[in-house]
Amino acid sequence: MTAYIGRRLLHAIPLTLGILTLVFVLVQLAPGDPAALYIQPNVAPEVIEQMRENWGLDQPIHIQYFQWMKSFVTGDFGYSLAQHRPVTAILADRIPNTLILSGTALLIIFALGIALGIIQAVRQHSALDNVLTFGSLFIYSMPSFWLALMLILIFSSKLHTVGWWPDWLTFPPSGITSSVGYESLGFWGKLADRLHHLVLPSIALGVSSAAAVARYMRSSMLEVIRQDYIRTARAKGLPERAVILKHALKNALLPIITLFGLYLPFLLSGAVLVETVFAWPGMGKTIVDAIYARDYPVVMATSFLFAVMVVVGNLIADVLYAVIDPRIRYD
Amino acid sequence: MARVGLEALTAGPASWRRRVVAGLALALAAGCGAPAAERSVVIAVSSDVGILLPAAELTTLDAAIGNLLYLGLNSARWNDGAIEYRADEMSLADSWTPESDSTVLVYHLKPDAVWSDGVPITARDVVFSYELIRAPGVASRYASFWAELDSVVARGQHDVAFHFRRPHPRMLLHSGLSIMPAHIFEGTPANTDALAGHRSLSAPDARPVVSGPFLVRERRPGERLVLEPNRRSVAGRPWLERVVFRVQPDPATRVIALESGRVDVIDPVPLARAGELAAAPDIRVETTGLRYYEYIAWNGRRFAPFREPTVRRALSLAIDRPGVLAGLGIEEFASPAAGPATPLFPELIDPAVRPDPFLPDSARALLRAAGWRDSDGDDVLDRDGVPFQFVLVTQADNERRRAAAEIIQAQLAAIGVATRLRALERNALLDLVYNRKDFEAALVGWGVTLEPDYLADQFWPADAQYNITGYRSVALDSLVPRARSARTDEEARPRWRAVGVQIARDRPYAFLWFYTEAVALRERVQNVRIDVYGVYQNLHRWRLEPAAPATTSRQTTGDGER
Repeated sequence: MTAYIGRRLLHAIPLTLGILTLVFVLVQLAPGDPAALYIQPNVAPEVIEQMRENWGLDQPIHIQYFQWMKSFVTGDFGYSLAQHRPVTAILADRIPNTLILSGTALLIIFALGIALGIIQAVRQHSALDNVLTFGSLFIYSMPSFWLALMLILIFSSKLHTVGWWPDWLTFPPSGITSSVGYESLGFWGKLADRLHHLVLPSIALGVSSAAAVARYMRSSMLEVIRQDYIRTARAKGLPERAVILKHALKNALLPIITLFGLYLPFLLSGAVLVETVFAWPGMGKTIVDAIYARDYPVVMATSFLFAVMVVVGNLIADVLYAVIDPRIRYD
Repeated sequence: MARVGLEALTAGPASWRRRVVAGLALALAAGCGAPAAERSVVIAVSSDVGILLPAAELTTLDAAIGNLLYLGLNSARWNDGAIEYRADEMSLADSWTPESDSTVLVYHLKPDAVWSDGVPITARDVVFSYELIRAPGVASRYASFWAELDSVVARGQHDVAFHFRRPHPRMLLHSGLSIMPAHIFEGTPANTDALAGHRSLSAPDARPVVSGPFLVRERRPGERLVLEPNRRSVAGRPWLERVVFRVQPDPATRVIALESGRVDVIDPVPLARAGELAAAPDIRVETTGLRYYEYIAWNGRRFAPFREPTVRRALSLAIDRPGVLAGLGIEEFASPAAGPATPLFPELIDPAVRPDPFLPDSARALLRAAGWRDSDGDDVLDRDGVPFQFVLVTQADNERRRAAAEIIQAQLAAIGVATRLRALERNALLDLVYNRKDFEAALVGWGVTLEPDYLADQFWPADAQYNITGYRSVALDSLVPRARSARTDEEARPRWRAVGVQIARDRPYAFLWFYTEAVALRERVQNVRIDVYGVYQNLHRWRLEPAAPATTSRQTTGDGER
């Protein structure tokens, strides 16, 4: 297995460099100019030219490419052209925020999705199954930004005015922490404040994908619980709980692991619409802002991270297959 | 198939589950109780603040906050339709005196003015600041202050002389730069990245050394900027103890946050929602003045018919400006434009110059006179076999401009002019229109500076940087330098009026409308001066009314702003 992982990682190096080269070319081909930030009547054209020179954008494209690649492989991600900060500092700011949000959303996606899928499978064709199917499809077809706005409208704005509604079930519409008073809280208070701010964005980000996972899980579980070994387990007199959670679940999870691998890059990429609506300073918004501003170093660094996450996500999924299914072995 | 009881899956020891649920509820309950801070305001802004250094600031918000952190030698104020420069609490100088043939201004610094780290503010800081904005690597928007400036010379500790090449009306503006601390930035390479990376600006716990009434207490890029009083400032102690600028890019969330009382001010308000917000209890909407205009630039370099003044006039007459504004629902916040001079400065507008009326029949007649006919019956005019058809580019992420372009497209179609719309993302649009000038027609906009005349030569002369249409007028090429050479405002005004008349007559653009930006505030925020200088100019004098006793709506605790 170790040799297999090593081999996969070695193969990932040219793949990642290829992806980066492609992104570099695409970024350069896109219309626009990072110096467009300086298009103002009181900024002289010479000043704009000077900025392009400072950034090395006056060099031929192949020179820019090799200079950039050289810095990159030595771990220097460069300076953001729009934020005038080292790209590593920007990533260090944004990655934790995104990990917190996407991690919680991922938890919701799989915990809720798997639980609902199991319930629907074991209660197939029941009223509960039908209600959950309708609910899942309804939520799945809802755009995340719209769901986000609805959550804000209900849980931040409307319920706020209902006298009997408990305070702790109204949630802030945006931000990571309270704007005022946060710093005077103790450790647990700060943690709770952060959790309180995390509720709506993670639900907005997670529930529609959870609905999709529930559909996959339902069909996978239905397939498994019809197998002979499940019948055997029941015939042995095992409690139904053990049959489902111990014998059926493990096998039904195989297709879900594929999904998990595909969702891993999402841990870092964030979600631009939800981040925008909830003013959550994460990677999704950073990337989109960087693309709009033609902030090449930030675009390249984030693309690199995503490429790595895709490769690692697929690798983890493959390794998990072997862990869960003893029939799968990698030589 | 065997049915499995749901209870079988959910049964089992419940104590751990109850503990988790109770723990979560407790945590959330605790989280919604961030202690309130009196004398705090939360302002939701649409974008993050840039570099907290006046030399490198780029946006209006950067400049507004820069003015609160760094004082200038004089303080400018909008006074009944005119700009007034004063030596007051928000200025570093307590007076200034002209010298010799009025080409020298000598400022006398307040002897008790100190930086927030206790170091005295001296003439050396002034000289340093002016050298900084001149450095090419800084690419400062204030570099143009040097256009008429010869030198800035320290005379001892507290006097500094500005030597201008000639007397001109903008001497006070050009000597009013926000002053930066020399003892902090001397030795740092004069380029934007190096300055932005200075420890005093970029460290996680950075506390920039400032002179204004506020200090930076905390900065979280992309999230918030928190200001607190600077006890050492000559501006005096602000009433507010805490000002939080919170980045909330989504306009709908900003509005909800204001309506639910979680923020005190939202800046800006989407104009289409301003009326609805103004009707809400405890909220007021205020405007900052008609400082922005939108126009269609007719690029004669790319579409030959636009070189003809008759054609440009006909197109302008085919646009129903009040109708478009009504269609956009912003007629309260905008006014049809006659030319590039803002109605804020009526003395710069010749009364004879009026916005073009909506006269589609006259437009058709003018085009007919210019040889345009619908000879093939396709409802599109043509001349010499060439249809009158062009591409109008505009900004994809600006809903108002996109909608305006669609309405104007229909109005032009009514006179037989076919327009294809192309919406581009902002950066690509700026590059296309202002760098490459490779477009046929563009619906774009500018903000006007508060001295709307002094940058006029960037737009109208044939070789001007932002002459994006290829417009050329021999008369204007002499009128602009003549107006620029005026020594006083009184001398300059009639000359600028003549420039305005010429531009209005030639119509290189279809000037559409001037519009204002709007902000919404909760009624409890008092003593706010809002005008063309923006919302935050007297932030140090803002006050909060005591909270009214809770009635139907509870005090916000979820976000801890109260």
